Amino acid sequence: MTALSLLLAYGGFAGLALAQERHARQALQRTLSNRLQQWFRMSGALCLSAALIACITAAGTASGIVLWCGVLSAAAVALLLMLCLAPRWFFMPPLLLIPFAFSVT
Amino acid sequence: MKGAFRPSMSWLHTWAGLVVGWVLFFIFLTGTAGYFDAEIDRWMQPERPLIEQKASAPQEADGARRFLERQAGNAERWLIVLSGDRLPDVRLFWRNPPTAAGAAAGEEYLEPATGNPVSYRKTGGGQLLYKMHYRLHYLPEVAAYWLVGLCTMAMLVGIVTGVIVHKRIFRDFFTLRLAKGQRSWLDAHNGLSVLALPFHLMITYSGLMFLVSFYMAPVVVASYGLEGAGRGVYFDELFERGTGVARSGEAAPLAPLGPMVAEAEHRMGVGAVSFIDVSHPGDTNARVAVTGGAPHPTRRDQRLLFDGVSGRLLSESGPRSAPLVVFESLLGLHEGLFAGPVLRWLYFLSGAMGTAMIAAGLILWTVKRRARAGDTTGFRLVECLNIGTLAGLPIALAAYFWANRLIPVGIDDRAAWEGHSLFLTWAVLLIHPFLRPAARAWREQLWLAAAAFALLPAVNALTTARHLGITLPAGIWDLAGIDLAFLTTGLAFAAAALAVTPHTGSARAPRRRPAE
Amino acid sequence: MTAKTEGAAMALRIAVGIVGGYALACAVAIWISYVLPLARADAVLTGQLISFIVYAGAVLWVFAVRSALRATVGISLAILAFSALAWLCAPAISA
Repeated sequence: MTALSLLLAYGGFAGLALAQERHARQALQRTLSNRLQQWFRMSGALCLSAALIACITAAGTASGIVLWCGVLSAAAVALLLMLCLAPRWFFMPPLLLIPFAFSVT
Repeated sequence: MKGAFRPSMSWLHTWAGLVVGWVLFFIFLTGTAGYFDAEIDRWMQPERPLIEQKASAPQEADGARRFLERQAGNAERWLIVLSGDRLPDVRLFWRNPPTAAGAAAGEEYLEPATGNPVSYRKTGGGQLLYKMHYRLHYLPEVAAYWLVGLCTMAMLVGIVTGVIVHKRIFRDFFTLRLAKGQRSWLDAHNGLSVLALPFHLMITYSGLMFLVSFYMAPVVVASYGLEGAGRGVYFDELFERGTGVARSGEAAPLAPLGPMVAEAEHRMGVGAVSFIDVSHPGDTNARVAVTGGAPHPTRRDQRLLFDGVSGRLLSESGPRSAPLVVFESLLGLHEGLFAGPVLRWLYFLSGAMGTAMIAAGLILWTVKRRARAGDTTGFRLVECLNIGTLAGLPIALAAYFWANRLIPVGIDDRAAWEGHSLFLTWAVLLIHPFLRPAARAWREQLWLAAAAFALLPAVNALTTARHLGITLPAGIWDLAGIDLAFLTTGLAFAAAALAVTPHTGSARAPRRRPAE
Repeated sequence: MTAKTEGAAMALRIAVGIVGGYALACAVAIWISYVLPLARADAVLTGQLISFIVYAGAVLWVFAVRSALRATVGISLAILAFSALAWLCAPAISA
């Protein structure tokens, strides 16, 4: 569940980032249409919320909220580093997490 | 300073941050290491068995009681902390009556299985690092608390002003532009602050709360009077809800602790009892409080109060008042004792981000002013303190671990000398930058830091049988994790050192012209 | 304004921010601890919980206003006001 929440948080932040012109150009070498930007922002926010639900499922309400804050920080740092060092490969870190994403803990 | 709101906040942010930056770096670095205090404790006592012996909670309590009756029979209070997942020992603390001769208090660690005192090497362990982050070292307690409080307050002001000054928090959320000098350092400082902002705010405000009754003593005095006893009344009303009693003066044997602990385990779950607080042992008014429960951020532990002579259950802790829940939640969030392995690493990551954020802020101060004020005394002082602290303190931390492996076991004040090694190393590394051109001092200290950390697993392998070659195959991840963290830290410092070494076309090198 | 008076004004602000801010935080916290309809210990704790928000706010205000003199007068008046309020609301002390 924690891996799943990390996955969701990373994906959520990636959505928010790609909705910005600068990062879309960095990662995709193009800018997105207004409608696509809107859509990325929406699904990004949705993923971040889903990460909260995953955290609470994994750890209970109080600990889950704390866990969510930690997961958000970690995912955001990972994305920041990817966008800065290897923007075209920004989708790689989640792939590493997928094998763990459906474990219960 | 005159004029608009934002420039004045920017001024406050810069200078409040600069003045306390180095102390904050010390506090954040040692505090972050402190999230793995138990693991570091274990690493620093390589004599410990790979698999620790366990005992049941009632057995541990009875063993502790036997020891305490022998060694601290006249104490007015015993505190017994049972072993747990991260705590291999039973830890005993006792306080003697103020009238008694000798030490005011004592402590001892016991092996859970045998009830005998542990006989591993004396070390400061992770506990010393953890303690230093709020108590500092060498300074008198009161001075240290005020100094830490003032710095924490400046941190709080720094966070709030930082948010005010930062113009585009959301637009720059994922922005980190490398190799752009001042711009890069600002991006790094912003990123590290914003991406862990909830942690930074929580850790700072809750840090102040730990000692709030010390810092804000006048508030207690205003309701409870000036005499020292007033504070006692306050704490009793707040935490014990008036269940405390005075010593009667008549002797009576203490009832066995085992059944009380068993009763508590029956209610809280086996293994859930965390500590036992015995007041007035050997008196007719003896009281035994057994505390435990599933770890929780709000520290919602259950507390059972027993009559210490009859062993009868007197009361069960009721619901806490709302202010107390808020207060204890802040402390619980700060300590992170409820955190499992993953969350503990996330705590560590957040703490490391705070540490790096402070470092980036301090470096930004110099990068911004190098062209304008590069040859003033003040600038040189800041730059040297930066080198000697941002690179020097991590080296000193490594020296603390080296000392643990190299100082012979059994010499007097061994644990104290581990601490002295840290501060002696830091002192030397604070002087070193004053004798060298800045760029070269950075390079030398960063390489030294890389070597000091990267070689620690090797030193460990040469001096103990608890090295990676043994801990990895055995899957002892708390010990292996420490060695691997040392290696990673060493590699990170090597990368930083490479970045400031010329001829590599790096981000930092071109910006660092030698000081003269 | 000369560098010297500007320096003195800044020193005044720093002193007012640190010392005055602390005094104001104490005064507000004491007043809160007196007027909250809670058990005595809970009211005191609530005052303490809030005190550092007041402190931080006071420091920010001291550095945000136009002149050091204004900051000094403002913080002093606030301390006086909350001390007076606290004094008026004070229950009898029983330790």
